[in-house]
Amino acid sequence: MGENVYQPIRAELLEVRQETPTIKTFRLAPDEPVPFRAGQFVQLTMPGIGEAPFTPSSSPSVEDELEITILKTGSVTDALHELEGGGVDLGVRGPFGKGYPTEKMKGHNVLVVGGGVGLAPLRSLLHHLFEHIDDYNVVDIKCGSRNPSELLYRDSFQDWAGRDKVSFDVTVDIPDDTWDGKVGVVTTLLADFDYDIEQTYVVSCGPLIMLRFVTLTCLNAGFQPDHIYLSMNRKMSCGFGKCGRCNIGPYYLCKDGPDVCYETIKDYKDAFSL
Amino acid sequence: MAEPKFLPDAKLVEFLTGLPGDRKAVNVSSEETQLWAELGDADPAEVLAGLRGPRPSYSFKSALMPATELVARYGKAEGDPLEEIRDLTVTVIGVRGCECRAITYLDRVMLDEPMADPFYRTRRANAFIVGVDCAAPAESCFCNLLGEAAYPEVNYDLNLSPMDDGFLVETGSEKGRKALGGLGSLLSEPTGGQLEQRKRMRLSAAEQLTEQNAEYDFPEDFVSVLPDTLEDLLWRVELGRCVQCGGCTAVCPQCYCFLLYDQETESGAYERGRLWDSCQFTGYSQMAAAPGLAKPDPRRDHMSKFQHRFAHKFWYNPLTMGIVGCVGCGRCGDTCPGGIDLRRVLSNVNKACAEHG
Repeated sequence: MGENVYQPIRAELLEVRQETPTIKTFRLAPDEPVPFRAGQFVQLTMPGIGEAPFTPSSSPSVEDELEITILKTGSVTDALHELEGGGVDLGVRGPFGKGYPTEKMKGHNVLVVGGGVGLAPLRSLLHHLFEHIDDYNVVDIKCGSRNPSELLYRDSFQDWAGRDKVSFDVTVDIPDDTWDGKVGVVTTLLADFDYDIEQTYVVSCGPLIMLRFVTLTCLNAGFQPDHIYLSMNRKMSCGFGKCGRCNIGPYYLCKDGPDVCYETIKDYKDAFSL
Repeated sequence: MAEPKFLPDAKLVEFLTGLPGDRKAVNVSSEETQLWAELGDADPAEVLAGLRGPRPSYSFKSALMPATELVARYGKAEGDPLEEIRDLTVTVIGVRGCECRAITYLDRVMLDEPMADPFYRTRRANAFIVGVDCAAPAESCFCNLLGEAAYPEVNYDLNLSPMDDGFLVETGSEKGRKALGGLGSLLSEPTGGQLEQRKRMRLSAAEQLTEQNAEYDFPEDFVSVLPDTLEDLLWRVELGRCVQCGGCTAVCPQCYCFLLYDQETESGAYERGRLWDSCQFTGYSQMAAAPGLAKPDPRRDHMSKFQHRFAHKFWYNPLTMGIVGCVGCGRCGDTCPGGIDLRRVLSNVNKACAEHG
């Protein structure tokens, strides 16, 4: 980024992939590299409409392109979903935030819990973990969605499940005729752990209500409060701690997060309010 | 600090006109209202009265963070708005002691690395700050309750102390010393009596503040007190007076929240602006939602917005910065249509906490 951090970097939209009826992945080539660590986010500009914050879903090790997986859910994302790939210019600013604590996680197990479009930022973490799998012990992926058609990255599941040191499980809240897998909310997958949970970091992203129950379930199971990292949601504007609105207590999700340790935010009463 | 010099009233406007600055804002007092005016347009008598009167009802902060400003152009548009303010010097004349301390706070937020705000940094580096002693603090002023003085102690280039027939001019920075270079002929050495008069004036302002705030009692340590009172009745009483107008945050010298917005120009180019925002407004922390679903908002209810302003200033700021987010200028209470006086709220917080035991 140049000196004016409000200036979006032009990014050509190379491809739009429909992931689910409501979620698309946008592949972008920014004019200058936007090197990010897993979990850091960018502000994506839909020209003339505005910006919204997204954590890329692609591998942090790919420098010249990035992918962002987006649920259609407001003015910026509605406009983005109208786009088709090729020749369209968007803008990016960033990266912002701290990213996942991948250094602290080294030598530990990592339990990754994703719900709905919450699996998108976690995919960049999974890329990182898979690329550096020797640094980590078990990577345990649990994901779920409201129904089978809203399950994100279904074509990757087989690859993830087949990897060494990786276990994978998936569930849907409401099944349909195409589904012969597990049924239930994602916390129903958080029952049996065949690894040392005290030596495990939990990273979760999904709807706030899900984060709440993932946290409760993990605490009951014996995970340590300072090992539970949650991708919290707040409205963000500037991205670097100036505009004021994304706080949980004294922490600004844009610069201290967006993934924050449960232990740090648990005492602030608006942390989990909707 | 060099010894102060004496500037007679008759030379004040000439002196101020000779200071550096592409734009100059000055305190004026007009029909008993304290305002800011462009120096070139101001009536000299109103300037003299303004600098001797209480602080203006608006803070100086728009000199460092305008209420709206363009921050980027993109698409077909050309020209970086940052370059347009690169060499712009704004001189603010009549910045009070409380506001000079507010600059310390704004600097901490806006210049915080690794990413400083480039617009604030540029305006701040270029700004020329002329402080002034509060010879006559407003009835709503309470800097003394926060342990602070009613005259500038930090962040000023020059300071003016009102005397009977002129001002004592003191330098506070290298920039200020340089500015005095060409204006020396307007200044004279002060007499011992004048230095004595400044001491008396400062003492008398301090006494006025002590007297007018005698009934208020702030907690020693806000962080240990405030969180325990959030469920108390006092908050519901104060909330009943709040109409969410956002006046308190607009006039506050330390409230800095802003919102970015993008728009398309008539020529089909795009620009990004920002404007002051307020934590008291609905929508401030509201997120997107799919059609038909309620938009998530962690501070949806009025009470959580109302308490956030206090929590941010007196709970979170001490935790993260070691200072409170208030300098005691009292503007928020003056502007509030419901008469919410921060002194009363905080004193009641203190009382409620004591009652809890």
